[in-house]
Amino acid sequence: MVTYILRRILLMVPTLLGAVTLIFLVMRLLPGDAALYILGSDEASQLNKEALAQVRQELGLDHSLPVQYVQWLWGVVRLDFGTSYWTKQPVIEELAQRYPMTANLAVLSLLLSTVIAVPIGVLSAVKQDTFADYAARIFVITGLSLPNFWLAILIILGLVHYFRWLPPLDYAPFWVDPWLNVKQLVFPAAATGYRLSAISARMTRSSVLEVLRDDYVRTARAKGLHERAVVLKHALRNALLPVITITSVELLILFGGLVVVETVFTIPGIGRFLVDAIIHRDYPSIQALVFVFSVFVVVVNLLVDIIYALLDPRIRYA
Amino acid sequence: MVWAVHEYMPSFDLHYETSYIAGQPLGPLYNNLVTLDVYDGNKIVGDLAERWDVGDDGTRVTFRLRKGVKFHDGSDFTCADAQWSLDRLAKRGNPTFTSVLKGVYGSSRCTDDFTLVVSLKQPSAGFLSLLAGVNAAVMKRGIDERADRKHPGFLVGTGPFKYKSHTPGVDFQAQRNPSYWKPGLPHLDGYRAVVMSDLTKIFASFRARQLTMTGIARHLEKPEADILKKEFPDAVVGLGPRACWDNYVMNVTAPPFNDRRVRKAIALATDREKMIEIAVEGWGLLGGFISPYLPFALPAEELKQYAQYQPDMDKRRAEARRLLADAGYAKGLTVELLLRRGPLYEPGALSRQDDLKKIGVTEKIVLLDTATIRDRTLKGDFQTYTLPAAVQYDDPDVYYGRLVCENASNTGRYCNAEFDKLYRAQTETFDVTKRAEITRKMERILLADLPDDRGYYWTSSMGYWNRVQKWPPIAGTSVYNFGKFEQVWCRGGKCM
Amino acid sequence: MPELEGGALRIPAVPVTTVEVTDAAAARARVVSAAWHSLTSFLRRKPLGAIGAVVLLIFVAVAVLAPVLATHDPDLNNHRARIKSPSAQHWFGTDNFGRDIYSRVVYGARISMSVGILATLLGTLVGALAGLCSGFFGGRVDQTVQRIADVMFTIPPLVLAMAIVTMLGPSMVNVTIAIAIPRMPNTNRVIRSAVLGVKESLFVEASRAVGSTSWHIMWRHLLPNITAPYIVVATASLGGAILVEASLSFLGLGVPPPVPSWGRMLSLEGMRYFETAPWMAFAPGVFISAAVFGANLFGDALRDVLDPKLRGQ
Repeated sequence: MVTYILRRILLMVPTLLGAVTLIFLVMRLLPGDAALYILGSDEASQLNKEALAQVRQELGLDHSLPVQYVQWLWGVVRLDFGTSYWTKQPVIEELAQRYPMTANLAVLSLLLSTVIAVPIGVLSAVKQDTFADYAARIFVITGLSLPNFWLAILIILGLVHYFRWLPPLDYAPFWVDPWLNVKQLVFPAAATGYRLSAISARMTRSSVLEVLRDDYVRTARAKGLHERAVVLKHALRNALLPVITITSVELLILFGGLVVVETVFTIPGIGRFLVDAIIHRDYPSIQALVFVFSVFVVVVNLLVDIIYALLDPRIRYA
Repeated sequence: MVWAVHEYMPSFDLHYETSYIAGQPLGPLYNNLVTLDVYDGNKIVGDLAERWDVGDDGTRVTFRLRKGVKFHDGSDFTCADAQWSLDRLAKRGNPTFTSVLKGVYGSSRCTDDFTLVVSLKQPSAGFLSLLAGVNAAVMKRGIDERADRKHPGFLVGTGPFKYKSHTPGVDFQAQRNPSYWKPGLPHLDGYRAVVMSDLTKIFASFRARQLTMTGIARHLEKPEADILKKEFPDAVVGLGPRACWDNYVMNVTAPPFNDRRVRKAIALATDREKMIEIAVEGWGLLGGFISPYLPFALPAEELKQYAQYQPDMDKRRAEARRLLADAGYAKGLTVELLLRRGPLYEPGALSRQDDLKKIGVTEKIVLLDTATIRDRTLKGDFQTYTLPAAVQYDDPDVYYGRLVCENASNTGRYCNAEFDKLYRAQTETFDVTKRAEITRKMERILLADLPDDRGYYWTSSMGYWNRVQKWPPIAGTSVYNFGKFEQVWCRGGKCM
Repeated sequence: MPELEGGALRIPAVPVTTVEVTDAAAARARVVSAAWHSLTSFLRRKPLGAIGAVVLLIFVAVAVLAPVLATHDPDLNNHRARIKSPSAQHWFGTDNFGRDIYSRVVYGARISMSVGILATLLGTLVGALAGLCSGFFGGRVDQTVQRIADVMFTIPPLVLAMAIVTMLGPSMVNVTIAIAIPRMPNTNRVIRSAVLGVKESLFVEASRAVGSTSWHIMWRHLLPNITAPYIVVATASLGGAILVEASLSFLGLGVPPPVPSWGRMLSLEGMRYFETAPWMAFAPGVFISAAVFGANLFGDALRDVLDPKLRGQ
């Protein structure tokens, strides 16, 4: 087991390096130029060439690609992600400033989605192919079918049209002002959480279905246990195990959703920061974001696998 | 006072950032030497300069500066600060006005602490308007050596408000300057510019009373104004002209647009009335090559004499097809159009695309973001492109400077020696009537040469709550020059 | 080794054991009848899935028949009939250009369906091929492919697609590629594990023992047995692909105008007029949701049927 974990940790290095290299190449091969962005962003701006050359030099864009790449990697090793081309602040500070917002939103989304998903998934599995199953699945599949930007805009327009109210502009952490925090984030969280809940509910359903056919559940039934007890005590506990394995997939989808929802709700989190960074060709910020996110996903994956291995005796690691 | 800007400012340097996203939040932190009286037809009046004299030959301007003015850091304002700011603007300022300023600015010196003498290379009618614009702010001397232009420490001005806080991507806040040199002003306690990239969200936030104004002379469109009129009796819709136009630039150095007949065909086929309907719901003005509301523009009656402004579209299309056939494109023509992505920029271009299809010109649209389109147009790597163009100073120098040979911003590479000669002549002409005679000649040249095609001039439009008092009337450059909130106040101390 | 029984959708040529087919015609007839039987039982057992399949088929038909179904030129401007509510002449009303929304929605099916289906096919086929090789050859090949998949798994699909479209520029081909690439690693994983499952089973060993080549084994034994998981993963992917296209259009990175695309009609053109002219966003919104809904219903039902562990009793 220890060898397995060590091996997995070592394997993280090439994965992260790969992710970083991929995004580095994608961004650097883009046509367009960060320097042009820095010189002005409105229709009124015009340019002269000396200014352009000067900005290029300031950004280090006059170096060759391999040099830029090595410089960046060396920075990462020292946990220095460089300075944002656009805001001129150290990227790490930019991330630190925006991260709590996104984390808060993500946690709230996950919470909302789990609260919705697990009961629906279980119900849908236990009552497979009945009216309840169909209704639950239509609810779930609708969540997967609505474009999330559309849902987000509908929520905003609905709130304004019917209540002339919108989530407040100011952000307060949960422990400072819980009510303001919830008021501000519950609607965007609903917009991302719905889609997420659809994914977990689906997974819960298939997982419970699978477990219900397992021998030990049959045994439990045979022992004459009440169906509810069977489901809750035996099936659910084991069924939720596979559900955690899709956490990393959920994270990816959640983050994609946050990118859109933060843009629509104008929430200053890292999702919106990433959209801005891509638009502004803010290479250091994009690279840092992808790196941090990759680390996050890889670590979560590792934890999930370890938990899974610890919990499920059937899985052995050679 | 809370309003929306669509992006956050790249830096705090007003000498450098020409975009309104910096100009609106930062402008009220500063004063200029001279400024525009936004309540009186944008007349140029003294600001930090109490008065000024232009020497007889027009190349020497002497400014008498105000005494007793203090910067936000408590230091005194003297001539050295003004001189330093002017030098910096002309040397390291933004290319937009630097290219115009460089043409005329020679040097400046302080004869005493409160007298600044500026020597010009040639007499310049537009010089004072350049100094009155939001970007010609007077900063503390040497501030760029003491503070990075991304750092709030850079924001040392003499203006009615001073820096409070800035969160990139979120908002910029300023508070009242209690020791402002104009007694009793400003009335407001402070303001806040919030970054919102999406018009739907801006309008929703305005209706939820989270914003005082949709934007300053921006961010309200006709459909939204209709909702305001119907449902919000205490909302005011502000409308006015705007120094910004739909600009269809053709690369005149390569086929097919090196042929004037092709350019003329494009101008003939573009249905401007239709474009105004589609792109801005009627909130637009027909115009030639300079804002039609300026005295320097051709009168509307004369403009309408030109074939491309005649009402009979069928006749115009027939003529356009004939011109294309003459130019050797009887079978039609396919061109590539570079277009900046976004709901503000696309409708006009799509309307023109539909018009051109009717004369056999197929436009292949390539959607690009700002960086890429700027990169390609600067290199001359395009056939045509559409970007709305705007000026911060309503002066012919700025409008026509971009069509002068070899000018950095002359992306279509239009070049006409006679036009350039007239350009120099109008710069030196102070008398508005005489200057207008020259600029009208220039416009006639352009209407024949057609270096670019202009669908319409935009209208400034904004929504604000009627609690806001003393909001100035909207003029062509109100987006940049709106009076620094100096005299604005809100009924009952509440702005929304 | 999954064994398919009656009641499940039987994929043609899914031999559980290697049967030497001597009579090709008879085999074909058997396959056809099996398919027909599977189809009817599928309809009976999975009505939701059947509805999904019908919805999808309708959209494909609309896309193919767009020129016949449309009543107007979808791109033709008519500024004298701008923003008109639905009428006998314009069934779904007109937009801010005075274009006929019904015709645009009908033509829009072409973009959504073709980008969705092509991106799904491209993404899942490449992913499946990689998974097939990875699982079959194992060792270095497996290591390399799986590390690449690991890398791709750490970047959110929408972000990767955004970066790719920004890089390549928005055109139909580029958008398709951008949507396809993030779909690869998932298919790769699913197919790889299916291959691993089959690989160890006896008949492959047996085949190898009689001296078959790798390619022969792959073709004869693996391919048929990974068809079911492939179809499940591809169908599940289709709805997502259509949605990503819409999201890219929302972010301004979709297929360039004036080509009618649902995502574009919904976001850029529709939202501006949502309150004053809701019909502009209504039709594309309903069509997008219905198409994705159909794909998801169908995908879910297929998964229930093809994955024996989930099959009802």
